[in-house]
Amino acid sequence: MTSLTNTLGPLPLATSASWPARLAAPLRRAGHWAAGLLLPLALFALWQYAVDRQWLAEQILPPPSLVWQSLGELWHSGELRDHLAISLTRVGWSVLLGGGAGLALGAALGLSRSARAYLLPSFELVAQFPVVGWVPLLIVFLGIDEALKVAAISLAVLVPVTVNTHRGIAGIPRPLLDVGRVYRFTVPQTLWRVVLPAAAPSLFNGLRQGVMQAWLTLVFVELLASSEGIGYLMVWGRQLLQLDLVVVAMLAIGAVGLALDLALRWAESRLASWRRGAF
Amino acid sequence: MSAYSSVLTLDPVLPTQAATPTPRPRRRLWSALGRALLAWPFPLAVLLLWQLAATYEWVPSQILPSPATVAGTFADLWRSGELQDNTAISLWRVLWGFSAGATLGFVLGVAMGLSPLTKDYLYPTFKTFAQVPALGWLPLLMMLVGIDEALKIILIAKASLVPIALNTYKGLQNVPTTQIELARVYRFSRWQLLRHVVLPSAFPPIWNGVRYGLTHAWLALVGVELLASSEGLGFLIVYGRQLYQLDVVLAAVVVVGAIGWALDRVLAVIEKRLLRWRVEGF
Repeated sequence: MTSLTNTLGPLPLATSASWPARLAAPLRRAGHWAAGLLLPLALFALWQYAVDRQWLAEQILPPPSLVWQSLGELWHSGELRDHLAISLTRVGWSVLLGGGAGLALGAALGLSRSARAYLLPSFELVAQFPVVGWVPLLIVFLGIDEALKVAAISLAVLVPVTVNTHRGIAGIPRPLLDVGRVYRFTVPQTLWRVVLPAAAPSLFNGLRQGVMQAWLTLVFVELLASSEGIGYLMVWGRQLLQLDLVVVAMLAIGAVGLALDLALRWAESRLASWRRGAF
Repeated sequence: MSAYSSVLTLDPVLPTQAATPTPRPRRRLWSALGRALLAWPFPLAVLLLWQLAATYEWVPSQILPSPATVAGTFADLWRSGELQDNTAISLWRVLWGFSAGATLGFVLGVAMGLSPLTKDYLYPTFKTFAQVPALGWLPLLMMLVGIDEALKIILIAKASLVPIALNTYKGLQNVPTTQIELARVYRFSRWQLLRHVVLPSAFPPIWNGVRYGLTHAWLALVGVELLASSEGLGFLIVYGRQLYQLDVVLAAVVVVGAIGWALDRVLAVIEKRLLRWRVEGF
């Protein structure tokens, strides 16, 4: 990246020649931060200005202060936490179910040639259908209760986890398995000491994609058919024409999505370091 | 145990065996045929189960129509032109939304990938914007732009913009330093550098982004049509469910899956062609 930078243009904030070198790096980092904040601040100012000038009706564009106030109220009354807890419980169960099934299916596809021959074409076909397309069908079979949400979200988790597990296991370099044979590893030993560590990055990739898909599907299912949860908060806010509720719910959705992603990344780096330590 | 044969038990590969080019064509044909045949038992068993469930009415026929009914409905919908009309409307929306989203996403990705200044200004906001899934914007956008075409196109554009911008940016960032150094040795102009080094090297991730983008666009289309629409494939699904005509729902779901698959295949074929050109060009 640095050399691309050097070739295509000088670093914008690299005017540190006159400063002591110690100060330059943190200052530059602060500069990067400040630059990143500029656009959100401008948008925020535009929002406030639009409200002041009443470009849009107040019901449609609530002032930032109102959104902030609703956020505080919803948080203090515990309503926001309740909705989030319900949504996260749904995602948790689905990740457990869909992830477990995906792991088993992906491992079977990766390890066994006959499982691949029997199941892979069918799986690839089914995986083509977007999960949201299944939802109306699932509604008929399962009703609109928890079962529907967990089933739909589990399906969304299952596909990326299976695909990545399968690829991770199928992509293990032959020499690693050869070494395992030289050491006369039994099958469980081979699985635990060769297959699992070698496929771990891919497994984690699948899990991360799965969780992101789960969060997306959750929002959709709750928008479509729910009476509680963070997606329902949005529907409710829209029906009452309280756009501040909608914006608060969106903020919560974004924040939770970000937190999930960061948590998984952190867990992955922890596990990866453990993995290196074990060998 | 034989189940593990593919990965875990290694056949002792003797040098002579390794040197044998390929098994005789007839044997290869048979094994390919065998593999193709093995793919069938599972879907056929599912179909049989479905047929049995419909014949013996384990589930009321309103809830689970027989395979023959679904096929008949599919043919009816096709003949009346309903299916084609709705598919055309859906495809039209995806075309517009995806073109807008892909163009914007590409421009954004290139700007952030090539200019660190733009990246500093835009990247944090972009990341925040990308965190909320496309369908999460639906209630807000409904208020701002109504439930007309604009809503669908904006949502589809958003869904395809994010992966394309992200992959373009990452692709440009990951151009190997050595290649750029080589180009500098040859005193490439900036345009030459972009055309002959940066673009070919960043193409695979960018195209990956395009494929993700199209998949997401299709998903967003179905979602938005399910939630707020009066025509299109998603609406056909909603309509079928409301009338308790599950055969219509199933037929529409099959079309949704088939088109999603076809779109991805088309992009894969284009990728192959473009990459062939790239290999020839060097």
